[in-house]
Amino acid sequence: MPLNIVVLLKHIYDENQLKVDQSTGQVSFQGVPGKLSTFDRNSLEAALRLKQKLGGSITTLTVGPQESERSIREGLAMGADRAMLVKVANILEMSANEVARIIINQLESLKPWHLLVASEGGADTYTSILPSIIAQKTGLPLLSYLKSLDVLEDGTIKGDRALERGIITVKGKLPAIVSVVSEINEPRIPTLLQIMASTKKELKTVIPEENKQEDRYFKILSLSGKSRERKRIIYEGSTQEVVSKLVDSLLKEGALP
Amino acid sequence: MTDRTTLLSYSEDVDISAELQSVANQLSESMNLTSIAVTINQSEEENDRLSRVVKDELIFVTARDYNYVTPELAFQILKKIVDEKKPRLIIIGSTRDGKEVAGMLASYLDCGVASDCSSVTFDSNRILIQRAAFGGRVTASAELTGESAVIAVRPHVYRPPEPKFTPSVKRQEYQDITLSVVVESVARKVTSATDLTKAERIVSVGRGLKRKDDLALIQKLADELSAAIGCSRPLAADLGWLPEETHIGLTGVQVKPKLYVAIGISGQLQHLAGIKDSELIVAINTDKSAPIFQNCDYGIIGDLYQVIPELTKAITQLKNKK
Amino acid sequence: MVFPFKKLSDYEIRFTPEQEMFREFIREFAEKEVAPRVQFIEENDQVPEDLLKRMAELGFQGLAVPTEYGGQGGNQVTVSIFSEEVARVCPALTALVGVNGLFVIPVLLFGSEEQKRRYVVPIAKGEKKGAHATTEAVAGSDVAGIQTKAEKVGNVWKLNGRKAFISGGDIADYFVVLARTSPPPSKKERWKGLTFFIVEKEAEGFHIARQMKKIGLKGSRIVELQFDNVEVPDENRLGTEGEGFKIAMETYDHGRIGVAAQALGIIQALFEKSLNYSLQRYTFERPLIQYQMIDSYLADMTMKLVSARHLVYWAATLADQNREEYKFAASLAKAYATEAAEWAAMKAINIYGGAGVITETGIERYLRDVEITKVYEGANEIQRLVIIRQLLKLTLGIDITSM
Repeated sequence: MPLNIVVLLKHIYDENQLKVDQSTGQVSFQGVPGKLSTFDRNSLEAALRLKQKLGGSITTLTVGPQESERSIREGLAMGADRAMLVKVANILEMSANEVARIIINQLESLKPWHLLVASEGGADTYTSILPSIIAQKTGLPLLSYLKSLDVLEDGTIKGDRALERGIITVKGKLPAIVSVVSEINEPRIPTLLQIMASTKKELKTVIPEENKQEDRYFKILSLSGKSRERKRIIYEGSTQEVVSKLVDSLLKEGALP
Repeated sequence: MTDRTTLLSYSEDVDISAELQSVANQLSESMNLTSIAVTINQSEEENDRLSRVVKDELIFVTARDYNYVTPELAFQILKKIVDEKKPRLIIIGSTRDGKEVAGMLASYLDCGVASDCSSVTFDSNRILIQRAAFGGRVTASAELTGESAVIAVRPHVYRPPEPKFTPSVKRQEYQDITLSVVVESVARKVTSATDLTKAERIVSVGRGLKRKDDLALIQKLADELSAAIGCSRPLAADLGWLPEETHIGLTGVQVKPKLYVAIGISGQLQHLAGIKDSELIVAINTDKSAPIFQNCDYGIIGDLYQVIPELTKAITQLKNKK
Repeated sequence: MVFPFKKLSDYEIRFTPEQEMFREFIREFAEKEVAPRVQFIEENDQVPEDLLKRMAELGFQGLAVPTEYGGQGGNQVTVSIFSEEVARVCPALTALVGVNGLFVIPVLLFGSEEQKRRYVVPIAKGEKKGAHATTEAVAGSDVAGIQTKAEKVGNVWKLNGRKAFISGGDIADYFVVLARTSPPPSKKERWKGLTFFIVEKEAEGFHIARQMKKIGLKGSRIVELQFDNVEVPDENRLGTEGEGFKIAMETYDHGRIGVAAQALGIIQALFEKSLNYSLQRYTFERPLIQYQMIDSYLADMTMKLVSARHLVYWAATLADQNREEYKFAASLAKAYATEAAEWAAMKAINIYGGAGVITETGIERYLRDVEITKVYEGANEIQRLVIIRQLLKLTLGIDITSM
């Protein structure tokens, strides 16, 4: 049965390129490039594989600033059919409940849809809370942290949840919400042809209703990137040499038992 | 605001519940709240052990017909308890299941929520938390405001309090709860007994290891160093070569040993987040440009298959000399 | 007048957001899927089968082939981006993929519809591989001096001769082969009487004579090809009889920018590594970067890197605008970038000191790779001739040979 899938994509500051003042630990986002949240590529890949198997369409949904377009276009290049951007000034200032409500609102306009795919967490804030909030508010089943995912002809959705103490195989019925872990797949690299074709795909931008700011109950007070200064003494040379030097250093440091 | 006089705590893992009581006790003291711990489908024995660290009340829930407590089931049960007890705060163990429960409760209560918190304090009338962000590169300090809040606390950050309490124990039973997600099967992983958070020395391995059998090489070194074994995420979560408890990183365990030896680990931010409090970090990797070399105290650029046997030999020789 | 062009905008370089996205994905491919295999490729002079397959799947063999022939529909700028990003990690791979272009270009420009369908499509789709066989032991730069002959017997041509230095000849399914079909009318017109043919590797009388071992670009092998009365049907003649020299020149003109981009990728890699090393390496208790001589080398390397970058993408932009001047712009880019890469490689070795000459470090091999880029696809000496002759011909209409 063809599936209409909605995939949540987030545009984030590249955590590998943050500017951190070495002495004060102060973090700056000035000039930090944005990128598609790493785990979201796995979500989209999972959706693409389902579409390949069962047919249907994929719409990506992003809550974020105009700059998100870049990441959204990547999703279209990978194979999503269309995209939607709910434009907000700064998603980092918004509460999880707030973002969830915006998403649920947009999901209404995207009906009929069968599956909402999220990732294990945003590679920036990694709160991992959004899917469960959306599940509670919509009353839809949530299969989270899936390492594998399958949809059967009768509308049953099945998956293996990767938990700390084991793999739990769960089952539910569509429409449903899933979140996937990065181990579920290797996201594809689109060909030039696919990248060019994506320029013709629809990217719709909407502005959400004004939000009453009272429900911002989570306030970030400060961000600190203070990290321990490491010695960075690197040894190169023949195996015997470097090992001998290392053992000497470790002895001096009193690190050996 | 003032009719919320309780603090609820819950984890599907009873050992983590015990840890949560540290936080629960502290906060309930300073905020003048009744501390109530909830367990679902735990054995009498486990509940008994837990009760000794619970300050005020323990609600021992049995949900018959369910061999596995899914987050949805836990939420349905906790929802009823929340309606009854009207908690000011809900403390949850920040496991994957725990975070799902936390999200559902926060959504139900329409309140603030924080996950993976490494610290929770009540200071000058404010509830403050700390958590990692941006791959672990940054520590965020935040405040939770509002009538109530849900806080998911990282496992193994707090230790259980001294077992000296005798809370009042209530039993509740639930059945016929309709669930939208059903468990088909449970495959429990082989668990490791070592608590890496307590280890003094850790020898850790990453994708540089070519085959699972080569772990023997690493084990030999660990034995000579009297060290515990750890790994980066792919070896546990993807390849399944080592148990999940040994996965060190932002989404795994955070360790603070005297000595951390990273073998064949490139040093992605998410892994560094797990080792940043180590006293001494040693890295061995063939790739000169691997980020681990920017974040270690001593490093060897070399092939682990040459270096590790040689290193093991050298340590053994040292020991024999003594 | 901004001679040799007419206005400032003639020097514009244009990129699209799609090209930037493409670049990022190729970078990801190179770092994730190529970089871990580089050591193996270098040591074994062989690219693993699965990597070849993967590149074919991703459409790399047909980047600049129109979509109606199974290609990706990219342009010269896109090909340059690909060449650069891959060369930054493994220059041999750029050569390996680029060699298909040397087959595809002449067939697309001068081939019949049937030839395009039969030969270009499978190569563009990654199902087959192509190679270009013009060079011989006796004739490299002197294309007109080749001695392979093609004699027409009925409706079939018989090819006899031996080609040398043929890149990718060991794995190619199809070859474009240049042969002399009629004697030159005069000494001055040596370039007349040459014709191209499409030869399939299964052809009787055709075989790979031997592999030629070279100092660099390990993984992209070169071979000698032997033609003993190889029969080629007339329908496999490429272009008209005697048009061969022109086809060869057009082919090299079109392929030149890819080589310049390859050299650019090499400079990029050397620059990044040298800079990184200078920041990390301590000598006399100070980081290398604090030494003025090192800074001087790095500054010059930066100048050459950025200049080469502009030349390459400018030439590619001109080519994409179908401007004839792209020919000498491409020669400028190729000569400059390959020589800049050579200089950068030598300086990088100096900066690395002892480590620079250790093969494991991975620096010296760029020098070995670069020496080949200077010599192939039109030796730099030839490029210099092209630059001046094309420049004068296209801008002032002057042919210096007839002055």
